[in-house]
Amino acid sequence: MLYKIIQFSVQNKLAIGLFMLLWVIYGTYQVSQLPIDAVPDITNNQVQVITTAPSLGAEDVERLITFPIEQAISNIPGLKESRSLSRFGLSLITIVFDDGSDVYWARQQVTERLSQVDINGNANKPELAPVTTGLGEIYQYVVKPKKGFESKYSLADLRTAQDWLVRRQLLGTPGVADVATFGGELKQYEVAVNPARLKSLGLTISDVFTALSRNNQNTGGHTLKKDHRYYTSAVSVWQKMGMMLGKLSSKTPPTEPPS
Amino acid sequence: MPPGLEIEPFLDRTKMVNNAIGTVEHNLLEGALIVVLVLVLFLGNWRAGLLVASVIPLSMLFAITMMNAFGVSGNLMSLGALDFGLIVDGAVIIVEAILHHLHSSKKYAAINQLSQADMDEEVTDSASRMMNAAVFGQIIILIVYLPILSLSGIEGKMFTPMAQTVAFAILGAFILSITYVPMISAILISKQLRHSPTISDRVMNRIEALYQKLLIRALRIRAIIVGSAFALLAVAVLLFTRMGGEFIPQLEEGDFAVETRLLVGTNLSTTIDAISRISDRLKASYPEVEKIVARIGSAEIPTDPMPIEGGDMIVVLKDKSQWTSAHSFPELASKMAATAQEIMPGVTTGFQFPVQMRFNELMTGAKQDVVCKIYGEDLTKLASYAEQLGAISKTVAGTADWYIEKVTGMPQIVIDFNRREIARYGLSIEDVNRTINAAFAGASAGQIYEGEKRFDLVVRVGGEGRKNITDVQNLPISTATGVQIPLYQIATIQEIEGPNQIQRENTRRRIIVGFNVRGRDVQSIVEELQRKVAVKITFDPGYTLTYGGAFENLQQAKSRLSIAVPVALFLIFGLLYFTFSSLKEGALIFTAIPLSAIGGVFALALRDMPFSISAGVGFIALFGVAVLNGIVLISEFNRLKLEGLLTDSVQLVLTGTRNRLRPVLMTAAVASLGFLPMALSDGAGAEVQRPLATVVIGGLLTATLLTLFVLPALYLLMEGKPKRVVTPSATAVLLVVLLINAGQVQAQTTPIPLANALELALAKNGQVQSARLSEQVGQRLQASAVDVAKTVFSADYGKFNSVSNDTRLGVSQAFSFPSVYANQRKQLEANYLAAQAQRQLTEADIRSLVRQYYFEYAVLIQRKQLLVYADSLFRLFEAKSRARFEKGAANVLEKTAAESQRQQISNQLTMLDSDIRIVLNEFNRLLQDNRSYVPQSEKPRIDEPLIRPDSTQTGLPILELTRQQQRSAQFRYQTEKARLLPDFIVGYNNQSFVGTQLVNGLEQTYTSSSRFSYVSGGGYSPVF
Repeated sequence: MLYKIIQFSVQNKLAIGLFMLLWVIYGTYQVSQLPIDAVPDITNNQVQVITTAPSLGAEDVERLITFPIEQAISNIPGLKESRSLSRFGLSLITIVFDDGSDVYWARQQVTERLSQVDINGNANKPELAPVTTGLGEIYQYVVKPKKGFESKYSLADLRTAQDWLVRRQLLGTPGVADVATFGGELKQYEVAVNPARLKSLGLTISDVFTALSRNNQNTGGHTLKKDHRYYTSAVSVWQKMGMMLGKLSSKTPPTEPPS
Repeated sequence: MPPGLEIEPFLDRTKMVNNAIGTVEHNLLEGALIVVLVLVLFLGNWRAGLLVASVIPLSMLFAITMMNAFGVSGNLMSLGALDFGLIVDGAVIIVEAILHHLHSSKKYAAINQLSQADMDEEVTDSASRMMNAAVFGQIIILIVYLPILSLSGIEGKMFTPMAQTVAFAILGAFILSITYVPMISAILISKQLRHSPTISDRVMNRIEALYQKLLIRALRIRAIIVGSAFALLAVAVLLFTRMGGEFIPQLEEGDFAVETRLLVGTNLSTTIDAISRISDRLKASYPEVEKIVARIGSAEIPTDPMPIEGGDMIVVLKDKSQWTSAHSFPELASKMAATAQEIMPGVTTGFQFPVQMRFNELMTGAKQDVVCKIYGEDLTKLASYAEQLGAISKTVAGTADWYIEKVTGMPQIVIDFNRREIARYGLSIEDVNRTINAAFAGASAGQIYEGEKRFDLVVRVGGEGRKNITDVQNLPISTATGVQIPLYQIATIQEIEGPNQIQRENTRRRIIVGFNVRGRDVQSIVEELQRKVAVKITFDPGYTLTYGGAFENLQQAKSRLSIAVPVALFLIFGLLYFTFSSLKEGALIFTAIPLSAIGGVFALALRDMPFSISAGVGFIALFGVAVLNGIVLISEFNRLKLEGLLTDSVQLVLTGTRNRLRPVLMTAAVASLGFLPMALSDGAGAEVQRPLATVVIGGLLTATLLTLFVLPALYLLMEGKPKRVVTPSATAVLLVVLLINAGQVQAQTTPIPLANALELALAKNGQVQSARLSEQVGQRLQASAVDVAKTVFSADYGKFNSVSNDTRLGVSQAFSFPSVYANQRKQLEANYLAAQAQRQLTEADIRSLVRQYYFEYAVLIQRKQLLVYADSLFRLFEAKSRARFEKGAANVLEKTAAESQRQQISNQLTMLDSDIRIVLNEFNRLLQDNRSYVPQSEKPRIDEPLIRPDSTQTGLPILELTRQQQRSAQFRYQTEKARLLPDFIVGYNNQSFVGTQLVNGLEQTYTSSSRFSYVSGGGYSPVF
């Protein structure tokens, strides 16, 4: 057979010439399509479960969060090993699956098991880390003010710009799994309570907390028909600082503590 | 972006990708150029060289197409290990065959110009003839790569793309070599035939001649050659077992990631201060640093959970060529670490490459190269073991950046409730807990919107109110009655040091001691550490120690390779067996594998590289190529044997190797030189390829040398003892032939002139031959002058050093006093010269005898002519006398006298005939040919003077003989005298001291693998 092919090639030079031309054109096209990387992706199949519990110490995190989760996931098929780290306020469980397992399947399995775990009330809900690993971090950048603008932007402003401008746009880029932000000051509205003054008003911190969380919601009031137009229900989510303050002041007339 | 803000990248993986791909491109391009050059040089034909070279880009295109189809990305591993030498192998074989046939075939000897049709036919013929060899070679290389595909884990992910790419490229080259190569050869190869040898032909001829000379010499000592090859193999195996090991060589990524840790519990501002001081100083004192970016604590998504007392500094470095403070990454890292220690004593720093660090963390959960994990239950015990282990690891050379995980030491405020008091105020623990939580941790009470931006709303005690322990003590708790009481009334509040972090692996608690490797290989470090730990630490039951990180990976990969490599070897052997259907020949070719391994191991050792998985893969690739040369040689031997023209196996081997020298050299040169840029490359990412290329080049070098010398020697040894040129029975046969001839003299005789007779006698005479052989014996015996005594190899095992069983291996060698050898040599030389003189004497004797019988024969023939004439006269006289007697003219007396005279002549004639027969017999006895000859007697005159020049007084052989005999006796006497002088002995010994020894005041424990050497010497002297 080989002999026949050779004979054919030698006799039909034009056919082989055309074949080679196609070969070169298609090959060149494929070269431009080849994904390029430095080293092969050697990441193993990992699912990370992150649980934050800002008020628990290392031993409590281990006992109350890490251990139950580890127990729950320990018999997922294809599990290779699990590692965990418990420290003040944080439980991080890394579950490594066989190379053959599908990572989305594995995540689904882990999610299913997590829903069965009864997590301590002081802890937040366990979350899965994004479908990427530390090795997947391919680009790191800093957001900083240009020369002359240093005083114009605070750390919180920079963080806000990163979270709400840069990150959002990057996340829209195909292939970007996640953008992890590091540093800066996370903008938060803090209600700083003075215990002494609260005491003088006879309130507790829990009262403040309840008052705030109960007065910040929307509700749907269906629609009203008036003059050929529809009106929907009003929105009462706090839009800015002033509004919140207003609510607070109106909510805190001194009430007599029951004696 | 709002005005005045900018984004500045500091760690960009594309930098590393571009560097690595740049290295790959550079290597591939240089490799391809070298291959083209080698091809042109060897083929001596520009067109053919370029034609073969054009297969390289074409098969690359095919490989890339297939890579896309199979989802293999182009990277350092997949593209970096392509050796174009291997790829073009098939094309080389075909084109070489076409050229060889065009230039050497008798068919074209008279033709100078070929038509296209002739060329087509020629190309088709040559290509299909060589196809089997080409296909076979490619299948072998493909098979060798199969086991690599079976690797799993990290090494699988690293090397499978490589094996796939090579396989694709070879497949592409195979398709090309049956379609494109024949087609383009038929068009491009010059149809003008030149029969004069080209320069490369002439160079090849020179090399061939040199090689033949060496090979003949080597074949004479074939047992020694084979023996020394195996000795080398033993040395290589020994070297290999001593060689360190690492998993995969570290990739120089161009930047550093520095893990910095302060004491547990350090607050954020102290950490920021420490890290900025370190980075300012590093930036100031190292011009190599472009910028330093640090981050402290964990990111929002804490995939890399670092506490606030730790931080990562990314040190972005300038290009290596602009460095001034150091020449290598490890050197720079050590210097920087020292600087960091200077500024902030007590800070742990770990210098690594960013991706390497991430990779380590991903695989083991720790950032260091080597991670020792201690498993157990009690944190305090774990911590104490970790401290001990950390202290030991610092004594091991080659370790750096030690990190001992701190599981405890976190300052905590513990609130210990007094339940009785709580009950008295009508509170529950839950109430108190909630208040404490809300006051200090704070809690999110919803979200606030600013347009589309969303921010948390948090309630907690104001900053003023949560500063120190008193604030906790004074935290107001409202009781059921509405009265608020401070917390200290219902609980004891104290500051203690609690656990910091707890790591678990597979549901067991573990603690980590980690360190980086700098300037030494992982395996030897861990082995040393294991030895020390075994002596110094005893673990309680339930506490175990394992070694992870690069070491664990290496162990796993080694165990997989230890299956994959034998499978590859077995596959090769199976294929060889099926091809040659002879176990013996299969085994013969298979010897190329250990022989090539010798070179690989030596090359690694020479470049001071440890064994790594890269090197392991290099060995696998090497085995495939090494076998090819053996196949080429053995199939040529077999072809010659089948032809049946050469029966003597020595001749067969010589012819076979000469025919195949060029292809063997070319394949090896192309494959090894193609890897050369890779082996020498210093670019980014070359670290991974360097061991692979080094192994292949070193291995091919020895494999080729050894194939060319050891394989023929082995072949001859396996074929059995070759027949001697003159069999011992040959002379006997000759004698028998002579005896038979004696019975039927002149039955069939050939006339021969004197000169030819002399020549024949010198060539065939047994006496001359025997003398000549004696002369050869004398010559060969000269080599035995230096007869060094046998080398003594000794091995001891047992309790000769201490109560432990030790081993000792020794080798020693005795020598005589040098003058013994000198005298022996002179004696043997004299013997040889005597034998030479003896041979000359014998030759002269034989020559003179031949001449004597030759002329005697001539004389007898003349005499016979005279007698025949006389006989005819006397017959006439007798007839006349008888007639006279009958007529009565003469009396009876006269008649009788005439008769008796005639009879006397007849008798003389009969006697003369016998004499002639005797002389002829003697003559033929001297010539000793299986035909009988008669001297040509047309010219009976002796032209030459009777005394010949070679028998003049000065050069008389007989004088020379006695003179040499006298010398020989004299030197014999001197040799015996010299033997009375002392003999010498030198030796080398290698032994173990199992057990504990006191060295410089320190107790060192040695196992049987710690070896100690000493040399010994001495002399023998005749005393009695």
